[in-house]
Amino acid sequence: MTQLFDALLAVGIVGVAVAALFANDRFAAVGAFMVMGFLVALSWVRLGAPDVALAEAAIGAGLTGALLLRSARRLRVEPKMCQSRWSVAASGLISIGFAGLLYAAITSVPTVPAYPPLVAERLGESGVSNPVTAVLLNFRAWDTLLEIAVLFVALVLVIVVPVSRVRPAPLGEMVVPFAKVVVPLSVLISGHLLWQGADAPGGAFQAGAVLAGGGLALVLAGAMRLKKPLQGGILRATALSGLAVFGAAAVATAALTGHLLGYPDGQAKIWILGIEAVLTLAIAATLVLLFHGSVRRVPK
Amino acid sequence: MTEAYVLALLPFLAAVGAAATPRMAAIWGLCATLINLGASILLAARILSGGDMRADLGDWPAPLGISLVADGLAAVMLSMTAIVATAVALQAMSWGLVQPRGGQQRSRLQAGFWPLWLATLGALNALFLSGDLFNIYVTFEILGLSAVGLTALTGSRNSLRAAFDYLAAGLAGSLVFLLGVALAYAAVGRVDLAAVPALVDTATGRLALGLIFAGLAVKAALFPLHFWMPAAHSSAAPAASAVLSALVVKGALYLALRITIEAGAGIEVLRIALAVLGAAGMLWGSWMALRAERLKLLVAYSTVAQIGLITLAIGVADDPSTSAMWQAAALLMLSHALAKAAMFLAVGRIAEELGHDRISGLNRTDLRPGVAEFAFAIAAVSLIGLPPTAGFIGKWLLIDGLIDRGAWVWIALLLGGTALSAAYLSRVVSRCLRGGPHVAPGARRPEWRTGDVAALGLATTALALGLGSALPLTLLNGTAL
Repeated sequence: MTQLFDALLAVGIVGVAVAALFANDRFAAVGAFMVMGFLVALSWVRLGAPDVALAEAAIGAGLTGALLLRSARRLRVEPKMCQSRWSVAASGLISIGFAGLLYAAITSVPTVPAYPPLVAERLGESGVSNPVTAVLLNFRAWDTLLEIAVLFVALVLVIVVPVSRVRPAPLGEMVVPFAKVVVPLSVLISGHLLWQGADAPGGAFQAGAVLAGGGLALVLAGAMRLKKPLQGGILRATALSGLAVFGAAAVATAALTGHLLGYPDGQAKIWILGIEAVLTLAIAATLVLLFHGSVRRVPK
Repeated sequence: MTEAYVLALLPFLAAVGAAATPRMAAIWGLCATLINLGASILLAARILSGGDMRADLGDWPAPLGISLVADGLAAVMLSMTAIVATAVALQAMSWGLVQPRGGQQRSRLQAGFWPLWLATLGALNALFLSGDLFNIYVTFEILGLSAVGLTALTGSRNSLRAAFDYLAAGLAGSLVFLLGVALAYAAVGRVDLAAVPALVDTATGRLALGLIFAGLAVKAALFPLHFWMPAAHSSAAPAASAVLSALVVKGALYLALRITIEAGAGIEVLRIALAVLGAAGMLWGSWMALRAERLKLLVAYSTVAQIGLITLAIGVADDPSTSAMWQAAALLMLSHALAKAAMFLAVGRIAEELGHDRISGLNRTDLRPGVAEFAFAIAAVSLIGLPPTAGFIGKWLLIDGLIDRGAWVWIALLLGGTALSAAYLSRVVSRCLRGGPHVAPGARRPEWRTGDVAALGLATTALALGLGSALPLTLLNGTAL
């Protein structure tokens, strides 16, 4: 039964990908891409990586889809979606060759994962029991700090490069009742994901993405009048606080323990949860701003 | 390792400060750059006196955690970055960015330049200090994205188009690089740099290294994957061009050098490929520079040629455990960074005085050559590799090693590339050396600007580094292999 499901899933992913590539309409292509994201998320569940599945569903399919739809609306001229047959054939051949190479490489590797045992051995000292959170916020927290810096740069780009604002078309009468349900729900789910990240799949990135989804619902319902500079300022400050607080925490740990991002003994969980809580808000604010475009007028 | 922590963290914190308070952005930028310079000098001094340093972040030893490694090569790269950073900050301080079209445009440029530039600086520092391939991938993401921003800052149609091409090429390079890192993890189960020697032994590992180098080739704009680069480097504002051309491409070149050092003698095919592509890039870039009509485009194509030269040096270097030829590549990177940054800053000033950057229009009878032209000429001397510049020492080390091996083909290619670089740079320098009947009696001189100081300072540093090259060479000699 599960094999049948897996087979259907695999066929579905390839089918939707083809649909996304060859759709004649830009919105249809983005829609197919989003469906593909959800199917890929399902396949991550089947592969036993629920953390990746959550991230893929929330960020890969959901928010990326929203950003793509927003950009698709901005582009006025409909380009020729399909290139010449030769270039399609050539890129297809290159992709197939590349995939074959990868397949050969991966199947030739003896699958003895060396890293998970290392993590399992020291998991008790990390302060959390979810190995993914332990790696992201403790063992390899420096990677995560730099990833937050990537988000920061993306935010600066959106502020600096002139982007027009979205003026959402009126969505009908249901949008406000919809937002009334979705927004509180997103806050609850996000809080749950954040708290649960310590010992089960979840964490700041997923929680932030879900919260950002609620934020988008607010924006689309017109409830968040971001043109008011004060609210925009708060949102921006929240977005910037992620890198600032993570960086400050790194400095503080270096001062306290002598090791950059080495949490004091026995307090690791408090530090991790604190950092993750700030990151959740910052990631959500950043994603909403990425969708919405620059809110603050450039200083004179 | 306090200095290393400061180098890795301070630019990011200052970038947040500059983004949060755009009016104070220049102050954040200048303070952070100066502290960065001090920290890199202290770190180099510590390494000179006490040898290599290593810090396990969070006290988790690699391969579980990430280690910062500060050795001689890292110290040379960090100091190079800090020196160029100081000059770029001076330039951007004095003059905003070129072509301020109205007050609002200018402040947008300034407000955007500092956070992006500080993030670039932080990413470069983190990259040079990192001892972990996946961590280096993340630094490349910051570097690539902020470099795209620096390209797009002027907001002109050309620069936006160049920035988009840069983004697409950079993303493709990142994906290939990441795929290589993933395969490397699959092959040996770890991603710290100490895994590189083990990668050489397996077929999957070699494929992983190949993918990593393919990604690096895109990011370093190595011929024939340089297609995105001349437009991006020539359409950005001068201070941004200097950063992109002198520093950002060096991140990928540094990692290529680092991996070839770690891998030792086992990657002969990869080395030959690097050397061949490098030589081809050197000749192609020089040819395009000879034909360029605009000054900025000439300098950008000269970067293609110089990247080719550096890649050639990485490729032909012998096994680092027995020969010191790899030091030539490091020295060439250092000299190119200083000279090319000086050149872009000088070109910015020249274009500002002339009102255009057409090479055919450099001879103006009513304008005498100024400091910027002088700085350009000194930088050109260093890029060509005439004594006593750092470029000369680098080429000397390289050719000396090749003569010992009797590799006459490579020597001929190197000398050919050098002759071509002399030819294309003479197109500009000969026009800068004009005098006598070309200049009208009442011709004015360009005024001094802080930008001139930055360009001249960098150019003379490149010159002086040839005389003081014992210092970087001592640092490099101490690098544990």
